[in-house]
Amino acid sequence: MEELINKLKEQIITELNLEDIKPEDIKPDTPLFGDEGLGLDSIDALELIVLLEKNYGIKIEDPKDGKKIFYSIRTLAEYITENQSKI
Amino acid sequence: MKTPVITQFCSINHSTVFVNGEPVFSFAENDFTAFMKAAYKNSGAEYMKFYKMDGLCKLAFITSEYLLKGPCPVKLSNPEKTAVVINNGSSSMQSDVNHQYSINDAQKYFPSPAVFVYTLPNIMIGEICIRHAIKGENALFISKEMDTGLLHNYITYLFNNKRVDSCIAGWVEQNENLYESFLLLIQKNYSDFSDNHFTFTIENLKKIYKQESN
Amino acid sequence: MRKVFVTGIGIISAVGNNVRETIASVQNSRSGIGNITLIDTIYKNLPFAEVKCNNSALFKKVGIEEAESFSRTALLSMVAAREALLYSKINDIAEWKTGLISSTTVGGMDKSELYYEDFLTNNSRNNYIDIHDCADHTEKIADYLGINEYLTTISTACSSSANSIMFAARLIRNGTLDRAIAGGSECLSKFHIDGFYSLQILDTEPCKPFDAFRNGLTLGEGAAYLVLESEEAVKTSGKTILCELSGWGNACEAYHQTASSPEGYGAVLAMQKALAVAGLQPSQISYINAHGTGTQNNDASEGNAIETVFGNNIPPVSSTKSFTGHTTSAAGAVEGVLCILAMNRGWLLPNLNFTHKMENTHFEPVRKLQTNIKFRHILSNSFGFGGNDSCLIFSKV
Repeated sequence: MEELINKLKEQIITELNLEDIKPEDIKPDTPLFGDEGLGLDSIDALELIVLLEKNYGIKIEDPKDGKKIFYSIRTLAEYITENQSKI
Repeated sequence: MKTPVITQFCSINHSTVFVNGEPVFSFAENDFTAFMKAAYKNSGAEYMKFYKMDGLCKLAFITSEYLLKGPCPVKLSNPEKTAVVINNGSSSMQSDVNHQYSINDAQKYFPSPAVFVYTLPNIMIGEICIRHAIKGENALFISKEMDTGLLHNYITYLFNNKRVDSCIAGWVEQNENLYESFLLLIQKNYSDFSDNHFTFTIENLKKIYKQESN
Repeated sequence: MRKVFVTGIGIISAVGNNVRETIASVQNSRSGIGNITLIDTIYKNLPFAEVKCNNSALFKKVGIEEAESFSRTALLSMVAAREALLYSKINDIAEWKTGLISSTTVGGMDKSELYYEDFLTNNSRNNYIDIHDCADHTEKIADYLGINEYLTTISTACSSSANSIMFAARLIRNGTLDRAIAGGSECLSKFHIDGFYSLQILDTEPCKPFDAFRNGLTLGEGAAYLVLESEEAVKTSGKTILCELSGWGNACEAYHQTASSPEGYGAVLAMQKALAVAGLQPSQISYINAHGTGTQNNDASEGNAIETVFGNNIPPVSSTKSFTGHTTSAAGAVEGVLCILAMNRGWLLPNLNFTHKMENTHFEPVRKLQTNIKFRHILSNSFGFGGNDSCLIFSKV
């Protein structure tokens, strides 16, 4: 899980152009969206959906599920672990 | 109605940022993306959204940043009555190409929403307005090169009809390493403006643009 | 203040290839939304509002050889612009200072995306390279109709053609022109179909603007133009006036690249500016033709903006995008033509597919077409990505 969390941090920084952010700046449980977190927006949410499909082969059918799945790096990692085993 | 005045201008070309005719930042390499990043860092702006922008928007953002918050910072008296009128030649060509690449290959089909939102040239006006909370009128005109006549006509109308107190206007063009920007701040002619300012006439517009683009 | 009058209209969209067919569709509440047939897209299962006329037929309509390199955007624009000119009974373009202000975002993309590989690997399609730019179609119309006094092209996404009309009005008002043909054109393309899909804002069903269960927009295509004339030009000719273009306004939402703020403040400002230019109070507006795309975001935001401007006195509201789809750059002009037809024929245009009122909104849109309605002033909204919000007001004369 730790390895996946670290990999996700790198991928998110690259895919979402978070240039001034280093992996150690992102805590596994910090909210990704909203003012307290990384301040990601609705377009970033869509990019995360693309990232999931491109890098992990997991398709989210309903973007509204995204809120739970993308809450933090940890919830995202847990979702991937759960769903990758289904493939 | 007094003629409005050009209170400052910023142009970017050949890896250099000029404010009111003076170079204020220069970058050694001929790499547009690296130059923009360096100019951003040099500006002192803390605006994470900058990195998400495409090249055209980065250029528009940086030009307006140095124009309004650069060596001669200006506070807009009324952002709701500030217009942004930009002229551009290649539209959002680079983002268009990037988007096209992402949908070309049916086997590797991953269109990026973050790229697609930039496939409109007027988004750069949106980025300027979001940054400076500008809610006045905005327009984007496409032409082969900067159309000083059109800009002068349009902006004069806005001032004469009291639609605006200030206007950011000019030319922003970018496609990979070919880029050029020139933005002016034009303001209502209050009597406390110094005589150093240019009045907003078509001759002055042409004159400043000519000296900036050489 | 020099008044600006509308003396001609031209339109081609999913509901009809000209004004007459458009009238018939509206009278029968017949939407143009259906299957896409002319583009081989992986999203062909989604609804689209395609113009029911392939490019060969468009070439025939404008009387040009098919071998010539024309984008679909240009062909649609020439059909509509010519109809507007004919409607306005203009025989001698040069009689008055006449300009052309058009708009598009797709431009020649429909051809570039087909021939991109050829551009890179061989010379067989090089004649399509130059037609890619937005301004190409404007020049094609100008050559076709013999307009050479003044041309320009505006590109501000979904508010483009509303801005063309506004700009034309200003050029007439300040004496640069006496007349103008103003509007816009957009054809469907894989480029923007795929792009909008990636934003997850395309409904799998035909759009239902202002409905609580709305789920996105339906992309459409089309072109529409108004002929605008100064008071002097109109009085001298004695021609029939369709209406006055009495107000216009534009403002920036300054919130997000593509989303509107919950309060719709940019929309509020645009509507207030248009009312101020027209010298009207909100209570004098007879009908609002909303931008009403059917997305969660726009309709909630625009609904709030309408309530802010109109308070307890909200006139009938509808979005005609459930007829024509979202014609993007052409929307302002397409919907402007529908407003002018509605004003002259006494129609209250329906908001098709509506069944459930949105939460937190105090109004619901017009459900069915109503006739024999008397209008004084109609307000039309068009909001573009980049927060470019525009509003036009048409007034009965």
